[in-house]
Amino acid sequence: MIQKKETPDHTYGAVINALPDNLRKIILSIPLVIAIGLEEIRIRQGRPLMIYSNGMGYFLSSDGKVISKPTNPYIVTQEDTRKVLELISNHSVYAFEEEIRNGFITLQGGCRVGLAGKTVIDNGKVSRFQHIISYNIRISREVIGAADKALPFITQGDQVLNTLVLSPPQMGKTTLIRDLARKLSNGCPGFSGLKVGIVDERSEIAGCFQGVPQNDVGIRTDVLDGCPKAEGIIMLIRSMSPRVIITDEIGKVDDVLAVEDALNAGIAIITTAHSHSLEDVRRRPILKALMEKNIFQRILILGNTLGTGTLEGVFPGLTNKNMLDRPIR
Amino acid sequence: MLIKIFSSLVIILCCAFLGIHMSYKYNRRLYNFRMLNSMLIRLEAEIVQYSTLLSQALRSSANQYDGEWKPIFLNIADALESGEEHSLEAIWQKHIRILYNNPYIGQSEYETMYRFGVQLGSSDKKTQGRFFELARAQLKAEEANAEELRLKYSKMYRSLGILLGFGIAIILF
Repeated sequence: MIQKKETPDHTYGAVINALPDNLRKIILSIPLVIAIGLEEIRIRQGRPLMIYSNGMGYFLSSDGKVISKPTNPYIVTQEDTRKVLELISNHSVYAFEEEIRNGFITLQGGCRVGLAGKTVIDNGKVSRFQHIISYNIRISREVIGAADKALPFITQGDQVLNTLVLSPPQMGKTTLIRDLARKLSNGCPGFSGLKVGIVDERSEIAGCFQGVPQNDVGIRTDVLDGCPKAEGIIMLIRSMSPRVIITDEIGKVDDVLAVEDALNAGIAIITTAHSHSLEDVRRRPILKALMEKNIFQRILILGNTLGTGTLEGVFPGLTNKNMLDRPIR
Repeated sequence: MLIKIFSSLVIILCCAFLGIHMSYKYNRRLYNFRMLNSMLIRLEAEIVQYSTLLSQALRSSANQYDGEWKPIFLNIADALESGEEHSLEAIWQKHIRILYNNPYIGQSEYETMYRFGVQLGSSDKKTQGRFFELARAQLKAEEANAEELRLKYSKMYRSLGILLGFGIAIILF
């Protein structure tokens, strides 16, 4: 097993700063063993305060005790949810209008806060939130070295192969492509660095705060933050001359057309999609169409047989020939 | 005799200065109104057009202008950036309260600005734009009153100062 280095929790401080005093005290009282594995903080107005750590859900009491059942938990108040919004937006809700409309705000440090509540619809689309009553503070962890095992499969000499990463949610797709961006951009033994462009529609890959990447995505990397994938790919091709474009969760017809444009311009693409297997891909019309064009030279499948982020299979295109004898991590 | 003339001159000058000082209050208040109005226009542009974070927007608008409101805006920006206090409403009201007894700030504009901070930064750009419009409309009406008071009292205090000086001098003679 390779030694993966989780970066120091620069995101944790940003998360703590985004909480009002009373919630901050509760979170800071969590036992260290649970705090280290903290994945999510769930704040729902009128309901118990919850955290998820190492895949397990816990309730929190008002003195910071971690309890597995909702007996005497801390109940989140309306004042708490109002203060959280004020703090996560740096007292500037107007500056995050677009992000809020998309249902999340990215904190300094790259951590993402999901939002839910009462929406207002204009012309059939969500125009804004009238009330925000639920927050999901996701503590993202940059895993330096997550791409070490995958990199040899997606490069040939100085060439990067068009790659699609498939997995169910929360199996490490974004973590993998973030580390791939870093390695391809910085270079590593046997591979000189090259220009990388990231289209980060949901601010998850680079975790930009005010346009500045908070995660290490490499020294030769340009990021289009909060930009729709299809538009962003075209913009990068026109203006930034990348050798590789990395983007997350492809799935719309426009995305497919943009990917084709990139390939015609001689630019390699690395992207991801939610899928459990190759059979699953074959059942999804847009992805199937993309695969049948033989665009992707490598398909990586992630799972959790050896833990989150396990490389379960590497396929040279839409074939059943797995290049791995066994899962690796 | 010479001493009497000299003392009378000193009294007249002192009273005239007192009158000027009294009238300055009205001029300075009007000046503060104009500076505040310019700051709010700039702050609105930073918020509505450029989506600048509130602390930076306050700093940028205050740095362009002068007057009693400038240090207040800068102090609020500092407090927001330091993160010592978490509620903008509390920070805003704490710093605005410094101007409560300021002779160059009227009660009406003080109250308008005290309330203004409660809504600042808490909504989308469109709504923020409306808050600014409302605040500026209120300040404009108050500025018109301040201008009226200035015209009425500023000249009066200056004249009164000189007249008082002459009055005392005549009595002393």
